[in-house]
Amino acid sequence: MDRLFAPLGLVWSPVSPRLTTRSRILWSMFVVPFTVVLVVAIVLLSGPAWLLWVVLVAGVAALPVGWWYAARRTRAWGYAERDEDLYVRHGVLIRQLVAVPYGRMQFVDVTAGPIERALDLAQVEMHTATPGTRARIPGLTPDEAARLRDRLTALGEAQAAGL
Amino acid sequence: MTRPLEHDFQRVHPISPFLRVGVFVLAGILATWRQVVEDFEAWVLLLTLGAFLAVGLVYGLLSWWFTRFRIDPDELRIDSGVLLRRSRRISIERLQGVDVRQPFLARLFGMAELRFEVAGGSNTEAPLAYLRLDEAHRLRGVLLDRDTAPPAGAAGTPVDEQPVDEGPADEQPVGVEAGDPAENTPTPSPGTAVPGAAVPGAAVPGAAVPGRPAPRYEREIARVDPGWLVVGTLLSTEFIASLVFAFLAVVASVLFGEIAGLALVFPAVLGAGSVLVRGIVQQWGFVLSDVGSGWRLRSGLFDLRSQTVPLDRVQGIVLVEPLLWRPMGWVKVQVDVAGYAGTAAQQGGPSTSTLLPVAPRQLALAVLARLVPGSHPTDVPQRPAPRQARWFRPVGWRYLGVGFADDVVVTTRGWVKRRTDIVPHHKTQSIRVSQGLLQRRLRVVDITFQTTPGPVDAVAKHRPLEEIPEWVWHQLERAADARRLHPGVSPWGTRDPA
Repeated sequence: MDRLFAPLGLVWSPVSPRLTTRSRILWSMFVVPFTVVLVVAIVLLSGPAWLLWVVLVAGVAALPVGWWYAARRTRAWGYAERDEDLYVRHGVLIRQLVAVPYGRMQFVDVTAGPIERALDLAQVEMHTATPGTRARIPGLTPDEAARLRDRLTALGEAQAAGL
Repeated sequence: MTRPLEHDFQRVHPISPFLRVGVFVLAGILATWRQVVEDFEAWVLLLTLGAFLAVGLVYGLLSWWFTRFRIDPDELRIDSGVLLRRSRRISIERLQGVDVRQPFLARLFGMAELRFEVAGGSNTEAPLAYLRLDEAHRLRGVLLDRDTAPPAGAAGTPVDEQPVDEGPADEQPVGVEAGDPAENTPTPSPGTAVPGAAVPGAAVPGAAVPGRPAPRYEREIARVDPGWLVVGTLLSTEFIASLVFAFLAVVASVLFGEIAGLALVFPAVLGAGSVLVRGIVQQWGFVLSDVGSGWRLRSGLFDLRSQTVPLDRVQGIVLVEPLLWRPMGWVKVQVDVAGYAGTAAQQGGPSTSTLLPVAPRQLALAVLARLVPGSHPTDVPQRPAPRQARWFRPVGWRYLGVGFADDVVVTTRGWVKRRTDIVPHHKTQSIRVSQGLLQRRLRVVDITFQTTPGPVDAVAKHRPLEEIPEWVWHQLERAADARRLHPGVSPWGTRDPA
């Protein structure tokens, strides 16, 4: 799907499609209450009828657009483990690739919020001495997250490099 | 070994509360000056000042009495607090640097404060203030030698391991003796810069002070002429921008009536003033010298600051050349230092990140050659950006470039303010490729060689897609090879786990 980083010839592992579900839940949790509040405010303040329609149409249209975009975003995530480096790609509008040597790793975070836990998902984040690195992989299954964490920690220790 | 390394608990110098009271009185004057000016009544003034003085003195004496410190084998312990007792432990192993600073008032009395930079902490610990200048330097030596010494159990007592080199010089600012208020320029004969030459610092009478460790050495690398500093600051982009802003504010006040314009003039003047203060006052008498364990930066017209950059923790270098400096060929040299992350930005002004505030190109290159021995980063052939880049930068695209040598990767950019970012291969943290919408259309990407936080920002902007493997794949290989050659230092202290 992503031809931009194809010249690197990496085999990308996808993230779980349930990440799409998570994004859709979050998007709906934002759009639905926002639309409802606006509609109630317009009705209470007896605003013009056309404004009411604009808000309703925008609110209803935003849902499928966001849902479609969530799927695109999930497909944009990918990671590749090589002998010495981890590659992570993501982003639909702005496409990004981060390549981190295992030896540069300071520590690994595995996190899972309430929605992630309900969906059986976890996120792995690899930290280096640079906050700008942000090698983050969301939407992993807990097993895969644990495997990745252990592998990253082991490789990080084996190849550890000083600053 | 649990015996304290230094004597038991000590207190800071008894003059400290009185110096602090000076600050209190200043605060009192600042808080009440309006009333004093508006309806002057002498007894109100005296009463207020007296109250501030009394409260300040009592508080100062109490807090001085309750503040004690001790150097243990692996930590510095500072107990403080009158009502709420507080015991801070600063792990010596995580100590990235100890800086000796002399605020103006303290400097008049020959006092100094010790500041601690701790790895992993985003901010500087509260300083230990005030100590006699030579005592501050001595403690600094004890703490840092402890840090670079082999772990306990290795041969010899750590305190004895001083870098004894030729030249009976001392790390103390030349000529500054405790209690010498007349001392304002800490260095002899300002001006002449000596690129790369090993100039032994002058011997200091303080070397005879009992209890002082074996003499250290200090060799001057570069000295910034006050003339360069003044002209350079006046011609800096920031100062000119604030002048233009002030000019526009004056024009606006003439056109639209006084009140609106004046509201703008004031911040503009303030901005210009702060640029001058940061550029000239804080960097006055800037001296860069080699002290064995690293490079020492020293500067300040009133507040004297001295900081040491451990050279093996330098992660990247940037040369900045503003438009108006180029006729003179002047350059500013800044570096990223691991472990000094937050402090550089927070305190503003001369931080450990500025190695040379302004210097002729020749001198800057001499300093650069010592930082990156063996290669000439400024001579690395630069690959120009593709023609598509002109859509993003109609003029500046000609100045975009990236290139690599055996040991460094170099990026250049900037038309008005030209900058050259240099990252040694073995210091590369990670590589980021990013492509925005317009960049996708024009088939280019930005490639960032990431280092630890700091002024260095090595971005190869708008590179053609075909170069991605070159700058990601092969660059990572070069970095991996370089890491095997230069194992580097462990981020936590100097003890490498490898």
